[in-house]
Amino acid sequence: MNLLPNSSQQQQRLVSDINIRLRKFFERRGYELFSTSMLERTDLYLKKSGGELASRMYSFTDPSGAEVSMRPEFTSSVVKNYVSGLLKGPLPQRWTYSGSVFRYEPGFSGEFQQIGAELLGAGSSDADAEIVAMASQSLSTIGIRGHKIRIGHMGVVSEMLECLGLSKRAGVFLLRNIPQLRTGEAGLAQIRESASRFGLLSSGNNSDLARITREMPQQDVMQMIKGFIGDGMHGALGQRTSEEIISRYLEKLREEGQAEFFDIAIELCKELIALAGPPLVARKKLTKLAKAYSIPENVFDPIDSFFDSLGHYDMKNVPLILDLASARGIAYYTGIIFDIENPRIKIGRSIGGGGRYDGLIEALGGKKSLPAMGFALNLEQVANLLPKDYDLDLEETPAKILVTAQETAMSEAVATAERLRAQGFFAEIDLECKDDASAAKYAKQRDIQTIMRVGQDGQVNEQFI
Amino acid sequence: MAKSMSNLSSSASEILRLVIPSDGAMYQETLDFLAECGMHVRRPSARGYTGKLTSISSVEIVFQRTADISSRVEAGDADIGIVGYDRFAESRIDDSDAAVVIPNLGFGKCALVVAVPESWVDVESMSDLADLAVIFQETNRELRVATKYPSLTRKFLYRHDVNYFLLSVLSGTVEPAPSMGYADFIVDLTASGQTLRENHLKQVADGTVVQSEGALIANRRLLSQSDKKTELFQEIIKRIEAQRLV
Repeated sequence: MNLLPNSSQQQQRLVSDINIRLRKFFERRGYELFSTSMLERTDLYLKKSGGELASRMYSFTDPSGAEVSMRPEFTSSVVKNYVSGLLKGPLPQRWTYSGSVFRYEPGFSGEFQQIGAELLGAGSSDADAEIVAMASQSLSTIGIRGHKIRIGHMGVVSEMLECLGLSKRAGVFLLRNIPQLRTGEAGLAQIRESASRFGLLSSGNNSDLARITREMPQQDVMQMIKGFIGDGMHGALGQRTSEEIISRYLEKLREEGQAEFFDIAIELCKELIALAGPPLVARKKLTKLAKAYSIPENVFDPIDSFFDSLGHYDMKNVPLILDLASARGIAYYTGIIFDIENPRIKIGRSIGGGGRYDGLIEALGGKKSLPAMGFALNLEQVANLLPKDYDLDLEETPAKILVTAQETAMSEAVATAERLRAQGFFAEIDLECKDDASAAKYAKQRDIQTIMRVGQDGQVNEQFI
Repeated sequence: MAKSMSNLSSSASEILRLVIPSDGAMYQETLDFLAECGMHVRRPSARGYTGKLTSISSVEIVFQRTADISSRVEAGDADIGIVGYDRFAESRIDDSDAAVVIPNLGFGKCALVVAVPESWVDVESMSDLADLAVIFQETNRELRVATKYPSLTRKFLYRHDVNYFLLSVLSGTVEPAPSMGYADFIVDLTASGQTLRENHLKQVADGTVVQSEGALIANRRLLSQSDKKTELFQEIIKRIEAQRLV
């Protein structure tokens, strides 16, 4: 159970300071601040997130019996508010948000701070570039150097796999497992094993049946299978109909013919992992790769237009890595995805990242589909990257004053403090009516430069520490 | 809920409290097991909550419902306990004081498994269930799973990408739930698989949530605070190990 944020006061001040600066940075680009509820119905998050996130959520049953969760991210909440009509105004809409998010992670605090932005209703590569550039520049603007951005594209990879003849289901399976491919032979063996359990690699048992079902018309096959097993369907079906069960069974049989495509697809993914690198170089390699696999060159058009659009921004100091095998929460990303990396961050949460999620609005109940793109930064990790000479104070801090008085003169003390505050000073009242020595000691410890002792007649004696 | 037993007299710290099942098949099996290890349990009345070991004095036996044993040890109301590993795994909290010392005492063997209706010929693996959860979601239905083990079930399903489901937590028998129509599939204990078959259910190939048998668990913090308790605990372990080597 890691419930308490274990950050120091210094860390908290840094986080709140960069939060303010970044928010201003986003606001200057038209992103308006929006706050979302910290507690939502659990199914809001389950509808889009993968199992990885689902298993890290803090979920519980509320007194009404509803399943609720502490927000593990902001995007779903923003989209929910859009769908329910709370986010008003013409499209595209630009929103920024910040606050605590909650995810269980052994060894780390379950609560951490995020700031992010969402751009709803813009689907062009210029929109993609705006978000990626803004994420990168926001770090530069607070003095962070040395970060890289790893860029992938879910849409392009899916299309490449489709070109190889892979079914959608097999493609989704493979994309989800790409991280395992990076671990070499052991990972590959694991993928093959789960693929075969998933029915994507022919086990041999059903291959004749698979061939027959591919050759016969669907209707006839249904009748045939029903004849074989339909009567044998004893007991419960749950909420499923026998037609539903048999037709999914047939679909699985047909997919067993995917085995050869699947092997080719794995090879392709391995090559995608290997060719990641600076965009120009990696892009050339992609062309060669596409030729080798007879994939039409125009699948890369979205990538080319993205980099064209990104070229409008000054990104000279930030190395980019084009890596089509990068995968982040593929459960809902549909286009460009990106991750911010820094070699100084080796453990813990990522610095941040985001991507395009064009299908989410419809999935969460929107009447029309709407293109959308967003990102979030993990503020504690961002704070870890700040330069040593980072100037914490945004504006010049006004002088701090301790106003002290005898008990009988408290009313004069309060009046004096209020006057000082109105003039812009930080004035705190000594509630314990300390003597001179302990007031001086206290002031020194609190970094207060001036003590004002107020007499009953309202006269003030200043003492500088 | 059992009353807290933590506020006992000052001599309590010198008595090792061993909590064992008071119900179900595990009750007799645990007594038999302890007897085989040379530790007969004397229970003054069949309905009493406490008893003694005939062979080791300063050990108090506390009888508790199986479902409550882990949390008694976790809370520090008892120093050590014997419980099915499934129960321990279900109620354990990461980083808590309770730990498994011997996970396989050799009795009460069973497995917590995912079982679906036999009629689901298209479902063989957890991946199929993951797929089905998505199909249900797309067609505005909820995949309903009945279990007595909500925590293990939730974690296991998430780990296998079954993300969208409705958990119904039962305290009675779980197997009939699908044929009674209040669940689509179940996560439940099975030893031989016979009850599953009688209810027209089949196990999912990679759907074993946890293999279980009787386990010895202990509260690390309590034991580390008393030399006398540690000594008594070691004596018990010695006898168990001796029996296991036979």
